[in-house]
Formats: sequence, C-alpha cells, structure tokens
Amino acid sequence: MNRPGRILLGTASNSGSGLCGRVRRAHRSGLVRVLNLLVRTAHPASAIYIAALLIVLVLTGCGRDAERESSFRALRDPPQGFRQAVPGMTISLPEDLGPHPQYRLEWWYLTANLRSADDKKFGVQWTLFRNGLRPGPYEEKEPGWRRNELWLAHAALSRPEDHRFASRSARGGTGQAGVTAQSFEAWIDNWQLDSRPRGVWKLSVAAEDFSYRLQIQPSPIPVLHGEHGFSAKSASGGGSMYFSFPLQAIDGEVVIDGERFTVRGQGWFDREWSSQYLMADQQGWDWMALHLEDGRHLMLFRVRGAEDFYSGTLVATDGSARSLGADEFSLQPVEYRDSRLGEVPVVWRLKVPSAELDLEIRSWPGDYWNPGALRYWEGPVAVSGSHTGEGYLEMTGYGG
Amino acid sequence: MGLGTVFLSHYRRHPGQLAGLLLILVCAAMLWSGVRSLTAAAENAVAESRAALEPLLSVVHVDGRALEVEDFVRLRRAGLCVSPRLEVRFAGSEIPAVIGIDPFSADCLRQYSRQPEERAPVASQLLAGFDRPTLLGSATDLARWRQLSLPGGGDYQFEEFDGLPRGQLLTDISVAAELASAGRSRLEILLPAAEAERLPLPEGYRGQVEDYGVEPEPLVEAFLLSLDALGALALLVAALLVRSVYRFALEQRRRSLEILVRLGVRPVQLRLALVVEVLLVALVGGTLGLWLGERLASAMADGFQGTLQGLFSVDILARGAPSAETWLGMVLILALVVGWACADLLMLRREREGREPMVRWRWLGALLLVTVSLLVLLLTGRLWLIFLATLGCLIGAGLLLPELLNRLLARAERHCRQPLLEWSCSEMRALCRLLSLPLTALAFAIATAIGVQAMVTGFESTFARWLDQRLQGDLYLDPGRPLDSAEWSERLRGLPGVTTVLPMVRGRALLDGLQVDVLAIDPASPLLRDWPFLDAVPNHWVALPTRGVLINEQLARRQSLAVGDRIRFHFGGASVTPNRHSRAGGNPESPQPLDPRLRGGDETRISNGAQELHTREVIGIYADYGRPEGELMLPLAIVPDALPDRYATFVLGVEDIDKISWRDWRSEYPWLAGSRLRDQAGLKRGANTAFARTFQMTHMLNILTLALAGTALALMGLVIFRLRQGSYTLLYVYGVRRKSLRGRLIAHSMLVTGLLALLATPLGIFLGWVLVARVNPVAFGWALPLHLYPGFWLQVWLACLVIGAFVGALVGNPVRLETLKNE
Repeated sequence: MNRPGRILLGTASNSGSGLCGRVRRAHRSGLVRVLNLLVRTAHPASAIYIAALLIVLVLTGCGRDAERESSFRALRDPPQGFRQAVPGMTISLPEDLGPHPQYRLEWWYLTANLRSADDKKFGVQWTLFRNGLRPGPYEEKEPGWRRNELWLAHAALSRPEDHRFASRSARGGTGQAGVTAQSFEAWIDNWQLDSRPRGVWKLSVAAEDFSYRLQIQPSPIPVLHGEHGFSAKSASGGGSMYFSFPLQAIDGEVVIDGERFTVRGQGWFDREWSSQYLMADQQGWDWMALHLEDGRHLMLFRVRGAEDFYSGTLVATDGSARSLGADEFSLQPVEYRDSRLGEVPVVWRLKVPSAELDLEIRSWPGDYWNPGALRYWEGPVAVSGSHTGEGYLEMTGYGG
Repeated sequence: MGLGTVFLSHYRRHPGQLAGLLLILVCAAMLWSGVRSLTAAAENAVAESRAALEPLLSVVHVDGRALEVEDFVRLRRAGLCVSPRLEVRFAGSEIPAVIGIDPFSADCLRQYSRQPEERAPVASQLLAGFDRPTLLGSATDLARWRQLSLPGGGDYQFEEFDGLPRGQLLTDISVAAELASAGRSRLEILLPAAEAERLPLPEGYRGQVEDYGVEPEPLVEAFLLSLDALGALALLVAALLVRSVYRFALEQRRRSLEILVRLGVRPVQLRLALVVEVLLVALVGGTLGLWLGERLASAMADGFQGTLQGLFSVDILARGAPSAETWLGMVLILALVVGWACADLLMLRREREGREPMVRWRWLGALLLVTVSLLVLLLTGRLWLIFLATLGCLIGAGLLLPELLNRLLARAERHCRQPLLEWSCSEMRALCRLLSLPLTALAFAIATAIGVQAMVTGFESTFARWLDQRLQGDLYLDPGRPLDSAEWSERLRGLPGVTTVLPMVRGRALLDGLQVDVLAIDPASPLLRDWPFLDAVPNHWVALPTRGVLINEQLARRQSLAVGDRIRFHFGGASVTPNRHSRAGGNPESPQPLDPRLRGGDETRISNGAQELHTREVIGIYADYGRPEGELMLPLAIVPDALPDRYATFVLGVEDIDKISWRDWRSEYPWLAGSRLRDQAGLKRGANTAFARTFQMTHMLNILTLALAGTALALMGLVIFRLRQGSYTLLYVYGVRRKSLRGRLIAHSMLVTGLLALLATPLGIFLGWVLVARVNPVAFGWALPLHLYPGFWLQVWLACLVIGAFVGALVGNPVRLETLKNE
C-alpha cells in the first residue's frame, strides 16, 4: 500500500496554537540549519538531522506550510545509509511482521468499520510508526535510553459527524514501544495489538475521551501488493515493501464519553516499510481500502504528482490477490466537501471493468482530519453502485 | 514664524510650566514603570514556579531496590503517565549535576512540558537537538561544564536556558545515561499525584511524595496586584496634576490660540499641533521616566526579591531591559493622561456658562460613585474588585473634598464679622477652586499615607504582641541539620542552666490534596501556656494529644474551617495512593474524595503499612502572621519519623539568661557545632527586620507619592498665588500693611492645606480599613485589627502645614503695584 507520508503524520494530542508558536520560534534556527545542510552538502549525518526535524514537527503538530513542505522534502530525500526497498525483494512471514531497523520508516496500520448491536456505525484507526534515526541493526541487547529510533502511535475513533484522535510517542531501546514478529505483538505504552495466545488479534487502546477493545481474526493468507510485495509509488521507481491482511472484527467494545457499545465488523491491516518514498514532484495521495458485500476487498491509491500514479490490488473471496495496473481501473473524484482545512474530495467514482465494478465511494458526513504537521484525512466511507460495501479513505496534501 | 515656534514660545515664556509638567510626568512614569518592571518580573517568576510545581510522586520499589529502565516500561505499559529522570552527579561539588529527562514522556510532568509565554517547553527544546547531545543550563553552569570537561565527555551542543536551578544541566536521558559511568547516577520515575489517584500502581511499587507542589500564585498575585494598585494611584495623582497644569495654562494658551485662529490658522491645524505637543511631552516624560523607573526598580530589586523569597518562596527573578513595547506603552499611557489633561484646550472650548448646575451634578455623581463603590467593596471577595471599588471611593471623595472645603469656607465667610477675615475666607475659596485638582491629588496622597501607615504599623504592633506571647522560651536553637529530636532533647536538658526543652518539629502533610505545613510540639510543655489563640475550645492543650488539631488562621480561612470541624490529613512520607486502602483493607471510606470537614467522633486512623490517614477535630485557631502557608499543629507523638522535610528546632527555658554563658556553648560542646543559637531578643529583631523589608516597598512608594503631590502643589501654588497678587495689592493700597498681607497669604496657604489634611484623614482611615480588613485576608490569609494612630495624623497635618507654609513663603511679597496698572 502506498501511504508514504504516514510517518510524518504524528501529532502531540495536546498541542495548542500557543505551544506551536513557541516551538516554531525556538526551532526556526534548527530548521534553517537543517535546510542549509541539505542544500550544501551530502553530509552523512543529514539523515539524522532530517529525522530530528521530523520528530519536532511530528510531536509538536504545528502545521505551517513551510514546515509541511520541508517535511515532504525530508520524505523525498535519499536513504542515507538506510536500505531502500527495490523491486525483486520478497516478503517472508512471520519475520516481516517485525521491525526492520535497516529501513528508515515503517508502520503497522489498522482500520476497521464496525457496527453496534443497535446498528450504530463506528470507524477505528490504530497505527504504530517506527522512525529510524540511525540505520540498524542496533548492537545493544539490553534495554536502555538510546537515540536510535522513535515510535509513534495514532488512534482515532470516528462516527458520522464525530472524529476523535489521540497519539503517543516513545524512544526505541527501552521496550516502551516495539513489535515482535514471532507471536505477533505491537505496542506503545498500554496501547497494544497482541496475537497471543491463539492467533486472534486483540487490539486495546485507551485515550482520554474514548477507548476500544477489539478481537480480530486476520485472513489466513496475506495480500502481497505490487510485485511480490514490492509496491511501486511512481513510474520512475521508488517504492516500499507492502503487504496487508483483510480482517474480521469478531467481537469488540467501543467506549465513547463513558458510553459502551458492543461492536462487530471488518477491517484492513497494512504492513509497510521503506527508506525513501516520494519523488520530488509528488504532493500527496488518495488511498482507500474497501470491503464489498460479496466478500471481495479492494485497495487502491493515487499519488498526485506531475503525472498521477495509480495502483491497486483486488482480493477475491478465496483470499487470492491480483494487482491492478493504472490501465485496469479508473478512480475519479466527483464531489468535494468544504472541510475545516479546505476542500477535499469526499465522493469518488471507481470503475474496474475487468471485475465488473462500478462504484461510488462516499465519505461519512463530517470532518475526519487527524491533526499534525502533515495533517491527513482518515475516515470511513460507504460504497454503493454495482456493489455495496464499506471501507476507509485516506487523503493527504489537501488543505492550506 | 511657523506654528511650531508659536507653540514653543508659550513654554519659552513659561519655562516653569514646562519644567513642572515634565517633572510630574517623569515622576509618575518613574513610579509606574518601576513598579511594573518589578511586578512583571515577579509574575514571570511565579508563572515559572507554577509550571514547575505540581504534586509529584516518585515511584519506588516496595523492597527498596534501585529502579531500572524495565520498571519505567512496566509502569508505562500499565497505563501510568510516568516519566523518568536520571540524575548524574560527579565527584567535586563544582561540576554541575546532569539531569536527564525523556522528552517523549515529559508531557506527563508539567515541569517540563509547560513554560510561560515566549519560551519553548524544555521537552521541545530537547527534541530539537535530539540528534546531537545537547546540554541546557544557565550560562554560568555551561561555562563551568566546559572548563571542567570530563574525560570522554563527548561532543556536546550547549544551549542557554534560564529557569533551571543552579548547578544543574538538563539533557536528554540518553545523554545522561552515557555520562552515568563518569559519576553517580540515580534513576527516578516520577508520576503526577493526580495520576496515582486514577490508576493503582502495579504490585511491588509504591509512590513517595517527591514534591508537594506549592501553589503560591494567588497570594503572590495578590501581593503584586497591591503594588500595581499603588503604581496606578501614582499615575492617577499625576493625571490630576497634569490636568491642573493644563487647566491653569488654558487661559493663557486660549488667548494666543484665538489670535492664531484670527490670523487664519485653521482649527484643525491647531489641534494637530496640540496633539503633536501632547505626544512630544509624553515621549520625553515617558522615556526619561522609564529610564529612571528602571533605576528605581534595580535599587528596590534586592529588597523586593527578599520579600518574594521570604513570603512566597519565589526565587527566580530575572529582569531584562525594558522592551520597546513597555516604552511605547508608557508613552501612550502618558499621552492619554496629557491628552485628557488638555482635552478642553484641544476642543478649544470656552469655560462653560452656568457652573452651578454642573457643580450640583458633580456632587450627585460623586455621591453616587462613593455609594456604589462602598457597596461593591463590602460585598465582593475579589481582590481586583476591591481595588477598583476603593479607587471608585477615592475618586468620588476626591471630587467631593475641594467642594466640601469650599463650602466650609463659604459658611465661615458668612459668619465673619471682620471684613478682612471675610476677604481671607473668599480668598481661600478662590484657592480651592483654582487648585482643586492638585488639592485632590494631595488629598489622595495624604489618605494613602495615613491608610498604609495604619496597616503597616497595625501589623507591626499586632505582630510584636503576638511574638511576645508566642516566644515564651529564652533560647532558640536551630541545629542546622536534620536530626533525631528525642536524642537531642535529652542532650539539651543536660546543658547547664537549662530547665525546659521544647522540640518543635516541622514537616509537611497533605490535607485534602492541599499541601500544608506541620508543626509538631509537646502539648505538655510549659513554654506553650501563653500562646494566643483567635478561637479555641477550653483546655485545648489537654485535648491536643488525644483528639485535636490546632490550625493557623490562613488554613482556617482558606478551607472555611471553624473550631469543632473535623479534618482528614496524611503525612506525605507514606504512600498516597488511595487505592491501596481499598485493595488491602477494603475500607469503604478511603477511595472517596477527602472532605476536610467531617463532624463528630474522636481521632481515627486508617492505617495500612506506612500509610496513615488521620481524622482530628479542630480545637483551636491561632494567628500566624507573615506567611501564606496553611499549618497544622499536632502533638509530637503522632508525627512519624519519616515526615517529609522533617526538621527539628528547639526552644529552651533557662534559669536566668543573663547568668549563663550560652554564647559559648557552641565552642564548648562539639555536638552543637554548626547550629545556631539565638536569644528571644535576637529572634524578635530578625522577625521585625523581615517585616520591615516586606513593607519597605509600600513605604517608599507612599513617600514618593506624597512628595510628588507636595511638590506639584508647591509649583502650582506658586503660580496661582501670583495670579492672586492683584487682590493682595488692592488691600495694600487700601492700607493693610505689606507684612500683614504676607502673613495672611502664608496663613491662607497653610489653612487650605491643613484643612485638606483634616478632611483627607477620614479617607485615610477608610483606606487603612480596606487594607487590613478587605485586602489582607484575600492577599495573605490573615486579617488584622484596625488601629488608629493620631500621632501619625499629627505628623501628616504638620507636613501639610509645612507644605502650605513653604508655598506661601515661596511666593514672597504678594504686593505688586504693577498688577493694578490695568484696574
């Protein structure tokens, strides 16, 4: 899947504008220094500078254009000592569920569409990001206070006209956050996704004004995107290793302002890692994962640049996956919404003639922005047309 | 000749007027900006301490093992908002200690995540330099670190950061961990106390009170607001004076302005020129005043800082040069003042006809203002409203006073049989009318002087009496270090001449989540017999050991406690996680929020290991002047050895203080070395010095305001009396002797100022009452009785008479025959 900017999307949940202003003042010199370094030299440490800049932007969640722009620049920078995902690489499980310290950025990304017993709709997002500051593998075996990598997590709970968000961050090396591949577990503080003991995943998240606990059954066969798991992001190369699991939420509980709901539904889990994502001309992307009533799943994205780049994967009812090239489907925005942060396309027309799909994808009413340096839209959608269904829509690079 | 030159020529002809105007403005700007500079610095300091202070627990292993990284992770994964702190100290006291924090979890601690305006929180600062080891600290500490660079110290980036304690450098915890091998390190895991109430600590851990988080700000703010109010009063006085200068200049200026209009200058141009003049005068006055204000502030800074430290434990007081905004603000304020002062001139208005109805309205308005302000003053509990209402009363009274004086004199005039006396009365009425504004200003200054003096002297005498009753011992010993009080009591009893030893143990406790001081004493000691109480049950000393607690006035006011109420508190050394009770003992009471007021029953202790929750009845309330903290007085027997900040001092009763050589004890007994021994007189002296310093500022401002008003009145009087020379000369022509006229002039001047002082005295008493009965309880937590000091009034009256005499004498000979030329 193709959400290269995701690592930048973190925020500190409590950041207010006052704080942002102050941080901005304090770090302007740092920013200038970083940019100068990038321009003047190919200093080996500049990757670390970029990463440090990212941390600041990510944690303080101040969305100024210059900063957002420089965040993108950082994303487009060469790997600088980190490994880069290239065609020909393959995926091996369960190892690739675990972290890849040789790569700069990676994530574990879960979204789910849920319904309560009285048919109320909920959307859930939980993401864990790992951001390498120095290329691994790291020598130290004992837990300790280090500056090698940092972890971020985003949690959101959505309802029609209601979107709540929380974030966490931690340094690597202590064990406060991490992922294990054997008996898969991903955690940061008391937020965790745990597959023990019997392969059913348990997601548990508690924020100030919402919490959720889900029992999730992942599909037995992983969906490998692109070329055996190498997912290209542009025609000229560059990409990431990317695989997914369609999910069934078999049981769960959502608590919102103290009110409890028992929920069930379905979802999508992404696993992606790389060190360089965007090309210089690319500004943002539109991504969606859809679950159709007939049991098929679809993942599609468009990276907007000088020339838009399209890619997708269609998962059949038996779990087998087929990559969709740009010539096999058309994805067009048809309606825009005037949201808190500007106009965003919220209704899309998707045609996949080979699969006899002609769909309208419509965002739930409301505003689904996750705040941050690179704020992004992450919200549930309803699917109608030749087939009905549901899913999630993610968009970046919109808004002022 | 340009318009500017014409405008300037007025002041060339009346240089005294310009000088007076500037003098007043400079003085006012100096007072105002000086006070503001100090209070603004203090506000910042308070904001910083507020950011730094919140009740914190340090999580420790129950079995006392040292904490590891894994413990931090375990607590975080249990969902607790904890943050680590790694302190590294190096051999040699001159090397600053390195404190490592984790900026990712620092959000949990206010200390690192919040900072006052204009500064990035420490956590963001550290994140900014996350890629490269960064040390934050004061310039001195950073310099010292560089000098004493440690072996293998690495390549550090240094950033100056104000507000850290001396001798500490702050850095990311990974940097501190790298340095740990070069010194002694200690890992702490900190948790806001509120967080511990929300979630239980995992098995095997307990919370220890790390910091009680004193919240001094409402009190400091009150103190600073009081100072600001005085500064504002100075400004108000100045505004009145400046207006009077312009009012006086009005006639002279109007004539020349009208000539200019007749010469074809458009009124708009004139107004523009006047505005420029106003701005220029404000600019010069503001700049000079600001500069002088800074000098004044630096001169007062030490005393002010001492006061803040002593009263409120606020110690960081960094003052920078005044900013451009301060300067601009000052100039604008002065421009407003001057603008208001010459509003009439600016509008080129004629003196209004029909003054009588206007005067009546002014009377009514003033009366209404006074009534409303008085009502507000009596009903409100907010400090700024108290000040505002007081200001309302002052302005109302200020409007009434010269008029009242005028009426008094009018009545006297009617009753006069002698023509000369009648003339004198009407002459003084004329003075009252002409000098109404400077007289009002003087009345304000007089009232403030009397009011503030009543408060300060009242406090001093109350305090002295209270101290006399409370200091019953002969000698007071401060051991200079924490120690075992029982063992020392024994040793002290063995000293020659010592008859009684009273250990006084101080520490801290938590009362309903609020940090309070604890004073533990032996209720049986004869040295406590005469302690004064504001309210107490009979035989309180007998009730204290078993069921009672004595509290200070501050605590009683703040928590609305009265004798007979029950309070619940615990000493901080023990765990303060309420959940521990419910889990271990299943006590239904403890997890509920603690209500400090439960009635009935004897002392109860809810005990679980180290934790003890005490419930006791308030059996007495005592005055405890000079500090804002709440305090519990308890019997020594119930105070645990692990009382946080436990510190013992001793009061000794001796046979005859003059016959024993207590001054030599410290050299004679080695175990007393390092301690401090003072006799009662010495202690009283120390206490009085502390309070003198507290009120030094108030005194100083007070005197300056009075001097300003006096000087201005003298200046004005000088000019006004010259205006009146005509009538004196006329009398001279009619045959009254020159010498007698001169005497009369002085008498008029003295009578006006003297009468004004008399009339302003009730206003002063009122101000004194506001300060002791309304402001003090809100600002400090204790009230004072209102005392009257006629001795001081006499002094003020005398000063006013002297000012009057001085003005009269300065005028010199009032007889100028040339004034009759036009008659």
